[in-house]
Amino acid sequence: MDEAQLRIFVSILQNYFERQTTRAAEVGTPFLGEANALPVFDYTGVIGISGARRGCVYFTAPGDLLRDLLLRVGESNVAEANLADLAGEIANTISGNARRDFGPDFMISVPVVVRGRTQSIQMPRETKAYVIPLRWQKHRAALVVGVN
Amino acid sequence: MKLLIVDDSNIIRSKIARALGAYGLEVVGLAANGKDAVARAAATRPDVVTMDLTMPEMDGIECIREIRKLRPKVQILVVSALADKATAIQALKEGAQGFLCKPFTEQELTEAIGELIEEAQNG
Amino acid sequence: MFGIDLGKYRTLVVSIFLFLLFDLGVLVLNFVISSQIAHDAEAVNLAGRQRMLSQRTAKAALQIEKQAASDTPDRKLPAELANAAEIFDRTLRAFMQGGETVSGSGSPLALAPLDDAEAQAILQRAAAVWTPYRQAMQAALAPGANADAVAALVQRAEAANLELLGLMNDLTTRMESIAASKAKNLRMVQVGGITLATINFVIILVHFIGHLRRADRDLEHARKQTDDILKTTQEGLFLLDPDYRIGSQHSRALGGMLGSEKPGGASLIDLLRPAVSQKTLDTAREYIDLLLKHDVKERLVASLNPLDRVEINLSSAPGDTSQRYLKFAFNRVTENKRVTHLLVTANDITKRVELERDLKESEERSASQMSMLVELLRVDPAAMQEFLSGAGSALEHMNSLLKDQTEGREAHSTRINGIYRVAHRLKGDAAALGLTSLAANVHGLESLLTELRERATLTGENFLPVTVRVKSLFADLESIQNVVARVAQMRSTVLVEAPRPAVDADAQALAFVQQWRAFAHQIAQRRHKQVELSYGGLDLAELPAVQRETILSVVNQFIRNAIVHGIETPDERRLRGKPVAGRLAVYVMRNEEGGLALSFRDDGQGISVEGIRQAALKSGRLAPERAHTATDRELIGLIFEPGLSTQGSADEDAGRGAGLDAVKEMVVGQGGRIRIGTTRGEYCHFRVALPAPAEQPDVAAAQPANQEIQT
Repeated sequence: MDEAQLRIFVSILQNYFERQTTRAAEVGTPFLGEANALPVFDYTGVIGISGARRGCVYFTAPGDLLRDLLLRVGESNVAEANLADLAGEIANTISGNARRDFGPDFMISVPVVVRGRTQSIQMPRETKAYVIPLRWQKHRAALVVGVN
Repeated sequence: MKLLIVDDSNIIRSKIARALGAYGLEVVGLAANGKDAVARAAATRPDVVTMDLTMPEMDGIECIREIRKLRPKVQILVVSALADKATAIQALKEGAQGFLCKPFTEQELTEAIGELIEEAQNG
Repeated sequence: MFGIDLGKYRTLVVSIFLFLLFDLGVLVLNFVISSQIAHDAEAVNLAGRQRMLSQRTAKAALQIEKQAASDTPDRKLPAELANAAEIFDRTLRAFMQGGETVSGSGSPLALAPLDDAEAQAILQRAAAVWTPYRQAMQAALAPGANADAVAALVQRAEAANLELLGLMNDLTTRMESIAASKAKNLRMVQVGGITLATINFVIILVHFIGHLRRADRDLEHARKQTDDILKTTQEGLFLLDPDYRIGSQHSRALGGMLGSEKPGGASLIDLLRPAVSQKTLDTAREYIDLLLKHDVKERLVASLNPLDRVEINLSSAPGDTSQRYLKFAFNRVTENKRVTHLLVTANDITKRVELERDLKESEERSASQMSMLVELLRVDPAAMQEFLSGAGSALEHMNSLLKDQTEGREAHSTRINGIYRVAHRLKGDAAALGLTSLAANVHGLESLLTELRERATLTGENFLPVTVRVKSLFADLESIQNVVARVAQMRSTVLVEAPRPAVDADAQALAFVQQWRAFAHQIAQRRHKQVELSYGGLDLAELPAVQRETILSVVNQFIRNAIVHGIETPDERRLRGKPVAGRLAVYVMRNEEGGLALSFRDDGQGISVEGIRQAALKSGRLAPERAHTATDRELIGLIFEPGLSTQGSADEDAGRGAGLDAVKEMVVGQGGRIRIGTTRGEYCHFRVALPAPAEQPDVAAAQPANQEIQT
């Protein structure tokens, strides 16, 4: 996973926030995290990657961020199910756009949404993952890319 | 369905023979050069020919021309490791129907031949 | 219809056919009825003539009678009467039964009997009056007829005249009315026919206009869909004709891809000319010809497409050129099994090409790193290990600086400087060890940081390349570690396992083996090392006491020596690819001369010749000059000398220099020999031969030369 590929993920996410809310998400300093010490907030949309490269990419955000985002796009129903849906939709957008931009080395799966801290995010153990912190309207979120 | 295999490599010849024999073709001849290929085509009257392009004695292009004169309805598959696409296109214009690049898998070979045979059976 | 497929025009053809049929029907009826009407007019005329003839005969009869009384009778009168009577008679009969009469102009005229019942009734009555009248006429006109006959005729004529006139009048009227009714029928037929034809026409009109409208609407709909597709698709879609011209209908994206405002109608070859080589262009032309004009399998020649990756440089503004990669795919468009056009799909594959290129580059990079690493294994393992652990923490430190999310110019600047410092030191260390590729990678990181320093504004995102670089350094370290471990493992598996007779499980349970093992673990534990001891061969209990004790004692010394000097710490062993626990292998067997052979092997670091040299110098055992010229063999021999220890300071297991000198003393004292084999980093192997106990050796004869050293 090189810089250009990471940038694709980052720009997909930034575009998403900008289009939906006209307010871009700020990207923090990216860093590396071990598989057992990655940020996970309340809702996480996970995309699996298989093919020549394996691993996963996930977007994780606290409920507050998703709630504000929903309100901003004019959705007043901020029930938990809707928050999870939104996290899923964001992951979906990432996956859909990434499929367009990546070649046959990347087989990108349909996203899965998980709630809370969970064991179901399967990060490759043998390599460090990129953590790209995001801030939108004072809320923190993160995009995590772990592909070997 | 009678098959003639033309290739100067012994390994390729037996690879093709094995794969297409198993696919149900009757291998009626193996030739290692163009001249031999033309002679065998005349003697064995094949329906399908796999043809290498770079060979001693007579090259593949001329060989295709000669075989087509003998057997106007024969289906010819060019099997070559040619880097130069222009030469391969030239060969096809002389009367071959398909091109398969070396190295190839058995599946690629049988799929290509399958397509040619379909034509030969319909036509 | 003779194989002609009318298709969608079937209804139209049938309608027009019906229209013509109606018209023709009207025409035929018109003709038939008109001719009947003409016929009827003739008959009406004849009926009128009958009326006239009845009057003429009556008049002639009267005149004949008058003239009979005079002296000069008109000779024409009887003939006139006969002629009129004859015509009347013939015409009457022709009306009744059909036959020939004379027309008004005197020409013969064939008549069919009148088919009207009323007219026939009139004729019957007329005939009933006419027949006696006609007989009277004939009697009066007969040669030699007397005046009586004439008188009778006149009488008859007077009687019949009015009646005949009336009847003939009725006949004329009747026939006129028949003719009039036929004319009326004709008009009705005409009106009917024209009405049908008009209805048909209206149906055609309504049906076809509706049909055309619908077709137009569908066509418009389809056109709009096609337009929408062509407008929105990201692919360049167009049809190519045999002259390589691009069709007028193409997707909007095509123009942008080819850098042409109006690609429609232009030659594809001309548009590509600036972008690709002449050879590729020629091949492209040949390939298109091949698909259009030759009997080849589209799918089986696709791999020959020379335009599957075309690099195009577009300049949208002066000085601003962008490099794009396009892929053109060609598919045949056939009409009636003939290839008329090629459907061409152009895709912008720039992103994909770039990703592929990056992937390839990074793979090449890692391959070259691997080969370099193999060479770098010459670096001293201890120094390497020290470097690796230091480098690991340096990278962790950099990552922790990145992880700290403090923002603002100041924080970013501190972050850059912090990472830079760590990187700079790491680069120096790597270069010192000759790890040039790693040093170059760190240097790249430094350059990135320098760039960041010079930026006017900084955001977290700007650090992305730094993070990527740090990750690649982590990966470099890991691959160095892997290679070091793997190579060490390769060496150890080849060499350590050489002479090893099968280990007898029973032998392991022997009491003395248990004791050695306990002793080994005890020392290992104190030195924070791990060992495993295996034994094969004789049960020492079978040996004479002297031999047994010598062996037990010698092995104890070897165990102590091996663990203290030979076996590495678990970390070090891991790094070298050895099992964490050091292996001590002991064998005792009888040799050919009836003596004993003892083999003791450890897979530790071997004997350090340099270490012995230093120790010998320090202890004054060798003079400095001598120490530098001494061979490895001589130096290794020194380990059996008393008072020499390579251990820095003494502790309870080693360092006092006692141990191996005692072994030597014992073995030589019994007339035996010691051999040493060792490879630095891999193993140390002592082989002791003891003679059979019966021959008591001469202690004084023992020489140090009995040690055979193999390195």
